[in-house]
Amino acid sequence: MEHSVPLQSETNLESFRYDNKIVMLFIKATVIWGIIGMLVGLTIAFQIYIPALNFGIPWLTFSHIRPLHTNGAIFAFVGNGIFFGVYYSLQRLCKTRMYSDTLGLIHFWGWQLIIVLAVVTIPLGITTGKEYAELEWPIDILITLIWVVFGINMMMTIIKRRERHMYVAIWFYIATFVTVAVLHIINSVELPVSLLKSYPVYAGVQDALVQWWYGHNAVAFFLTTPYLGLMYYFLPKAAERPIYSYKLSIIHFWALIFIYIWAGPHHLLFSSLPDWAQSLGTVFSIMLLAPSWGGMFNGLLTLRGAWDKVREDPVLKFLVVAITAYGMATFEGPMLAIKSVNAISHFTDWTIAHVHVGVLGWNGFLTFGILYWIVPKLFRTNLWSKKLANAHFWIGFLGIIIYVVPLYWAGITQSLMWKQFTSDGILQYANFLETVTQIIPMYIIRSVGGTLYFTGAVLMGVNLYKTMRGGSFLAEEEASAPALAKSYREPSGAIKHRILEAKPIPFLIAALIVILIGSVVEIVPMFLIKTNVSTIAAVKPYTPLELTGRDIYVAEGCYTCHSQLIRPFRSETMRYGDYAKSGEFVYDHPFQWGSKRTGPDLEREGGRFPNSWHYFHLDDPQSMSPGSIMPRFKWLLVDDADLSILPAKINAMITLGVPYPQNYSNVALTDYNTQANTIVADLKNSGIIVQPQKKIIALIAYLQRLGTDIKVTKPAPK
Amino acid sequence: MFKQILENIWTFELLGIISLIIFFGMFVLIFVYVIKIDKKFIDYASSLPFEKNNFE
Repeated sequence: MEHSVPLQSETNLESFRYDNKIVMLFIKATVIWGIIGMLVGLTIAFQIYIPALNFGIPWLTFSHIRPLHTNGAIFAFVGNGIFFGVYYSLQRLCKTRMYSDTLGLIHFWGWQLIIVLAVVTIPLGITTGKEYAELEWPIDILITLIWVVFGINMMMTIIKRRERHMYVAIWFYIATFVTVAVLHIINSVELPVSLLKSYPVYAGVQDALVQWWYGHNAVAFFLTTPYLGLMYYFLPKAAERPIYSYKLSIIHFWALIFIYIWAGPHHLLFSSLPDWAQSLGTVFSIMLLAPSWGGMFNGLLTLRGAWDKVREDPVLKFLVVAITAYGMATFEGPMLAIKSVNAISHFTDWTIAHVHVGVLGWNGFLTFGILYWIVPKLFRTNLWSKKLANAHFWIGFLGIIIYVVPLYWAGITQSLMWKQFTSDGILQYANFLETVTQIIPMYIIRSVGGTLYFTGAVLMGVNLYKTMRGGSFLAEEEASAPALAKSYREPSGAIKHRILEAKPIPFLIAALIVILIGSVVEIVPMFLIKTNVSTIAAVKPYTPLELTGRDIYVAEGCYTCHSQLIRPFRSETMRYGDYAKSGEFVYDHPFQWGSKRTGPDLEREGGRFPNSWHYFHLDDPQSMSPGSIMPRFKWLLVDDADLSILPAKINAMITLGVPYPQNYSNVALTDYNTQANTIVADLKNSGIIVQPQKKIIALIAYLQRLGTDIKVTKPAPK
Repeated sequence: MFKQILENIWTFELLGIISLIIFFGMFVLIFVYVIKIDKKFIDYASSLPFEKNNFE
């Protein structure tokens, strides 16, 4: 590609070497963690309809490893995918080696350590209970440090570059770095109680807003913006033609990062979040369609005149499907943010289908395409088997279809069943379980789709391994470029925008300001204006036993399948009781509204069933609800609750503003035992002998407390 | 005082108008910004992923 415009006059050519070793390390991590993350996903896809597949092991239970799957897919698979792509493209776009090999290695090993710590802690129930932010406070600090190391290495590389202009991919990388830092730090403000336990400083509806501002933007700035940066670099490379419209990419970038940050509240529609915040979430989500589709068209149109290549080249096949999946997911997202659609989709498998179009299609296929392009290049050879790569493409593509279609079916079916009334005006499917057993065939088909997708990824692992074995690795790649002139004047007819786009630090600050606008407008009023969280006099702090039970509820991952948020629909208030009020959650650190109802809502579970029912149900759900797909939690009957940190927990709650009496931590244990003994005595009347210190007693106390503060009438049975 | 101002303006009617203005304002700004870019510069910038993009 030749151009004739002299934008700068550099003549002194400098030689340097690109570091491919760090790229290769992240590539290996991407493939290995990708396969492991998918395997965990596959395990839970089977466990959801065969709960006994946990083999009675607590840490292998669905509710323990589902968060491991989500964290693994996002931070281990896509995370390492981001890093290998950034380390490869950034060096070439900046015409320089990465700033520091050492920082690169600290970043690599630090990130792998974080993943290993997640693999150990999350299944063991060491969790904050906040989705995609489950890691406890020491790991949160480590994430911050390692992220800063990555940021320094990246920004210093950009600063010492030999190319005046920062290509659009770099903008996406910078926005990713700064926004993820802001999101992670603000959402992870927590008060440690012990080395492995903390409480978020936010409670209830405020915690929900911060969490979903984080959660949604983890999708935006971890799964989307960095991958768009990769698309803008690797798609032109693979197609051997420049991006269709660079101007469109500029609009895509600024509009996307500005609008994305506002959209979080669409995860909380019909909740007790104030209406203004919900509406902002909806409005900005719909706006998102414009920049998202601008980006999708920019990607697809880059291939104009090259579609013949797409037929032949597995790399382009993967990239085309990835970009199409991006377009589909970003069309569906705004639709799901419309309240009337959300009323049907929320809490169902529709959401699971939606995110898998994104992660399997967009992130997965973009990663696979780039891997098939980059590995032969780094090993100076051809791909071991193009045929196998094509087979991977079709197996993976079919896998996605067979994964998502049944879940769309399941989600809509279940939601309509939840809302179905008889002609007499009562719920047609009053027993929640009926709506679950109805969709089990869909779960079975989904697991077939997942198996196909996983198989494809394994085939890729083999193909890449064979390619590596057959080539010779180019660890240090010779390159040369003229040094940037120290003094630089814009050419005549100055291009003003380059003032920003040629200066990384002002650019970073500009991106920070743009993403802070939406964040501040949504979050600050939630904390400053009292009317946003009305208080209810009848709502009292949890007793020490209930608080302990709540921590067990969080640790067991109950929130992965049960919501605690009754929406203001007749179908929900009839099934579960009065709709949720923000004042009910003011002592909930963290909030536990959940995002998926594989089981029924529990917001007003208290008093619905006797203690003995909960005892038997937790021991063996099928004994109380034949056909239930809830796993057995029989270890709760034999394990003791950890009471050593109970006083510290009470003190932490007092620090966070929960109105316990002064020095209550001194008597908390006495109150704990008194309440526990009451439940033990009640169970004894039902012929159950259990000791008061067992976890199940605390959990029953918590479940029986749920929603009772303002409960007025007993609703119909679920 | 800041809290009072917030309490008073935080009604959805106003928020709706503000978000509409922000949305169009943002797009208008970006469009103006993009339109003013020199075509030759765009050709240069879009060629950056390729090796031969120097301007000697």
